[in-house]
Amino acid sequence: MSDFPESLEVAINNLINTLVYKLLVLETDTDSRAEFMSATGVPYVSDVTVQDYARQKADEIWGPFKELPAPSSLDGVIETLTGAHHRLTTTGVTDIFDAEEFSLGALIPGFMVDFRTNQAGWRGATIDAVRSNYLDRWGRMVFLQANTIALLLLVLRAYQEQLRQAQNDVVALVNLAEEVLSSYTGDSVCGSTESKSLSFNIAIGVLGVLSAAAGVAGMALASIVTAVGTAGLGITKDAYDPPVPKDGGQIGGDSVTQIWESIVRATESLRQEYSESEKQLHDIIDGFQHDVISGSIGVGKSGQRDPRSLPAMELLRSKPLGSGTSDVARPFATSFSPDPAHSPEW
Amino acid sequence: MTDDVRGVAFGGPLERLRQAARVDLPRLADEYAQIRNACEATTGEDTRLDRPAYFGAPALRDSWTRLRDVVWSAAGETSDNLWELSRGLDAALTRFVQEDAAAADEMFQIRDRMQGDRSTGNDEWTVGHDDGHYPR
Repeated sequence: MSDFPESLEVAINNLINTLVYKLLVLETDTDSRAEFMSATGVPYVSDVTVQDYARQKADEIWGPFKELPAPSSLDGVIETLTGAHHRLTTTGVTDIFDAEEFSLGALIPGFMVDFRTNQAGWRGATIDAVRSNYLDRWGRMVFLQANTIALLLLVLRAYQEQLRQAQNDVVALVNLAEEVLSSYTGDSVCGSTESKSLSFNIAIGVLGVLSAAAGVAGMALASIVTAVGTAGLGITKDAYDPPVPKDGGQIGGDSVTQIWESIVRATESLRQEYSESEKQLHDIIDGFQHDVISGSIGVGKSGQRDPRSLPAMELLRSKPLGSGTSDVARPFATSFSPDPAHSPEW
Repeated sequence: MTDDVRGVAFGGPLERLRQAARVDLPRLADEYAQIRNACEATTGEDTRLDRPAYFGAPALRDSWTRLRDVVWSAAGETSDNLWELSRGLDAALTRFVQEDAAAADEMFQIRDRMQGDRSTGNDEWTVGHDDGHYPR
């Protein structure tokens, strides 16, 4: 079997050939042809007019599917962002306490631990600012950064799956349409071919990615939403549940015209499912942006019960230290300070 | 009354300050620069989220890239500010080394004991800072 979009082109060619054959060979009575002309606007039924009409309609309703980007074209972005995510955590960040303790198994949290050790005992306005503006906030910063990148990755992988399923579904649809039309014999009053039902896989495929906690981000949508929820950040949009199109993918009818119309309707259902699924992915990102990134977060570490809160946009980054970076004083002789004889790991 | 630590006893804390200024913070700044660069690299692929208008208003590209830009900007600023702190602490280190020869000698000895050399290859400070590009 050929790859997309060639597979779709082959399927469309087969379907058009079958359509022409059925109309010209089977439906030779005037009523049947009149029905087709009325439904499609074709001026009269001939192999040329039907071919032209069907080709144009196919371009209109299936052409856009051919123009969808290849799912694999998102691999590079996913790989790049995965690398960024792994600098922050190798475990996923579902617990704010893990982030505050920097126990996330990645380089950035590890360097934060080193820095926390090495600054101990030092004094001065710069060091005070480092503690309150950096060390006490870094847990939340890493937590927010890691979960934001995890969500970006997850939605990207979900969209990649959406593209893959849309391509599979449209080829399956056209192939099934050809199958139904092929089996039409036109010799029964009650219809001469069985309707066949096609289930679309976009929603189920995307949901599988969002809920599987598989692959690059190592997290499912629900764990990200729960994590930011338990960290005291509001998020309202966590569900992915696109409505199933009403007409579904039912293909069949009592005449060639009816079968053809059912094919067009089924394609419209598929288009709607694509559109709705993408909108819901948008809503998930938008909800996170609105509720988390544009919201406020308690300052300080969890146990400190500090009632102050700051905008998440501010806590998502290490701001310049208001006191500058030059006011550093020696530790007190009596102050606790760690033994200096630890070496950076190279 | 509590006194500042001075002389030989100050050598240990000074070595820790050196590590904070010249190792820990430059490493952190560099990691965040890498995240910033990764975000920037993905911008070249934004058109992958485009698709024919047939499928409705292109919703995902705008929201996805907007959130990506938030992380991009945050990583860039964080990198720059950590580097700034690194420079500030290094200036303090230089001052203390000039003020307190005994402490400085002790710091260098500790460093020799721990690393066996004074190779600048072990000093990430010398690489400098890549201030890159991000939305400001």
